[in-house]
Amino acid sequence: MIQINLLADNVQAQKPAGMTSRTQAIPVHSPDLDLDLDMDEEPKKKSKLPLILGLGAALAIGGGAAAYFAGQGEEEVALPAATGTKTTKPAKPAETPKAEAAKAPAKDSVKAEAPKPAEVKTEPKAEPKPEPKPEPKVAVKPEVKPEPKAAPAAAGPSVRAAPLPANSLADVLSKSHVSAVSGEKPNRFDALTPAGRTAYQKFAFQRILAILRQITPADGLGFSKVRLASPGLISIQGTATKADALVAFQKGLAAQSLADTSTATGKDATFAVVARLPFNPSFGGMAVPATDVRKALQQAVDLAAPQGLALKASAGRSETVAGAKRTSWTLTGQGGWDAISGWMAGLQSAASPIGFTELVITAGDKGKLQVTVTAVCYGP
Amino acid sequence: MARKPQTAIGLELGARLVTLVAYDIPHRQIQLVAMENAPQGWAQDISLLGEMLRNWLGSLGLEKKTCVFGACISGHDVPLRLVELDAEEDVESALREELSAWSGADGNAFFLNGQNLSKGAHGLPAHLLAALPRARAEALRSAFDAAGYPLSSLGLDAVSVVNAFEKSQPSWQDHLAAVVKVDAPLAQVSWVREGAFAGHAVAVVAAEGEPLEPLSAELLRILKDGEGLCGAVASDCRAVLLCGEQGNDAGLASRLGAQLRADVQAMDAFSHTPFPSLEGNARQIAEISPQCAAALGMALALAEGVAR
Repeated sequence: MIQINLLADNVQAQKPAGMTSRTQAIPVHSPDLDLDLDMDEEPKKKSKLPLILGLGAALAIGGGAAAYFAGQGEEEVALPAATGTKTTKPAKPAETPKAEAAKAPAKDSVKAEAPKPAEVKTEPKAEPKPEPKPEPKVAVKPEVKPEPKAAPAAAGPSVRAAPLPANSLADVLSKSHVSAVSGEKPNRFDALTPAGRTAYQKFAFQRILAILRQITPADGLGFSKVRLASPGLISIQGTATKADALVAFQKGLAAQSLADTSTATGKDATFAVVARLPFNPSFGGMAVPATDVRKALQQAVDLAAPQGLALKASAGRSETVAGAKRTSWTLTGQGGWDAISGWMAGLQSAASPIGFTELVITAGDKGKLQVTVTAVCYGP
Repeated sequence: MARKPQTAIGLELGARLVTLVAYDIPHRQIQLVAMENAPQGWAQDISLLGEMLRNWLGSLGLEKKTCVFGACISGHDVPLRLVELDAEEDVESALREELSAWSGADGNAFFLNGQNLSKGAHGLPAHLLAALPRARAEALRSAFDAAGYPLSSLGLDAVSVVNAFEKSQPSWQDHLAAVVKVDAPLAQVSWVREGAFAGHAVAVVAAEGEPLEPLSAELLRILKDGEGLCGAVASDCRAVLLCGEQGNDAGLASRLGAQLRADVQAMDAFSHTPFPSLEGNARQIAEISPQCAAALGMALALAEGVAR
């Protein structure tokens, strides 16, 4: 963790050559907080000081007793009994060696007795110290602080963003200049090359799905069918359990520059929304013609698998469109939103020549989404 | 006796948006994320920021006594680079000399931070040099003081996103990666090599119209040329992590991804930090996390500093 604090000068001394570090610290200073307190949750290493002190005390007592016993002979046997009256339990074990000590020589009795008081004294001192510290930290904080109410509301970026006027994105993009590509760019989908069309379809579908995920309210709106059609049409059917949610959704579509938005509501709070992504001549996709459409299809299916989207392809159907041979397939499978988006992104990254004319998402089994895609590819 | 700081508040003071991440230090989890529009022109008149902070932070109900505050500002217009120094030289005076040479101003007019972090272009230990004019730092400190939330730390967003990257993307720690913070019309590239800061570059385009298109072209140039990168070559870059206001723009990611060999993706800054209040809402976390990377990185660094 790199720590810089530009509220003051802080320069570290130079280290020997070749030494690097990931966690460099420039101390954080706060005017009103005691920052020396240990905030680490990890249990602190037990200090050995109490143990050493305890052992020292025991040895001192033992040594003192040894000296005393050595000088007193048998009379000292009564001493442990007298000290044992201070505490009830330790007194008992102290008495057993007493009898033995009476028989044995004085030196031996001292050795047997000495360690016992040491155990009794050191343990209570060493153990309780580290334990009480972490307890209040864990217990107090979560209960006192209520679950942050502001987070879900404040966290939604779509709520904060000022809505763009409809078509503004397309207007601006159509005026922008691209230095990388010379010549005039087509300003209609129809004017694109066949390979350009498939590249645009991937871009448009991915963009629409991203917008849809971004603006859909967390609750109050349920989709039963989402249909995307080339080059950038979307129709959604569903149920709005909260009237505000549908309004917010419509505003979100407009804010994201989806044009020609229209909504129809039906019985039982059902609704249908249609919108269009205006053609964007600067979509930046790579138009790569296919050399082998079968391989292109296989690559598309293979790219879906790692995303958790197992697709099955129907038999291909070939036709001639705009003077080029086009093969189309119907791909079906089940997966989540992430899987579909990830697949789209993967196809774009791999510059796949596959495009889409239609994508339909409905409810599938076990909470998954049923995906039906009409994929197309131009080429031999 | 002062109470223990329980919460590290990381703020990113952007030109358009102020982002806040509250990190619960004892439980090591996100407590709160919030965003608010920044007052227009606050960089010129910092008192506007103080006013906004007082109202906004007050409305969030943060318990001042147990919070420690850190903020980061944009690193695009302040010196932030790696400097190789002779081992015998006095680090501070050498860095101040370098600073004077770059800025053309008196090096003593800056608060200066220097840390041994990585290796420079010649394979020698390099210092990360970060500097900020004293007057600006004092003005920011005063704004927070005036709002009633004393500032403990002031950092740079380009560094904070690297901290967030370190925490959230452990799988890329052993490679060369670029953390790109996109706040159109400017973007900052922070190079990270084997977990250490390895350079910084800035892309700026004209703010007119839709700046993402020319910005992506400028970013491509930086990422391909390895501008600002020390001790490595750009072709070794394995990952480009996008963050900032436009960090999850799919169009930008696809434009960059189509031209680069590296894996281009939006940075999921919260991937290794529990976020209980949004638990289960992975989609929303994924959407906000690129925007919160700098504030999160600030909060994490602050929490680590507190724990030391």
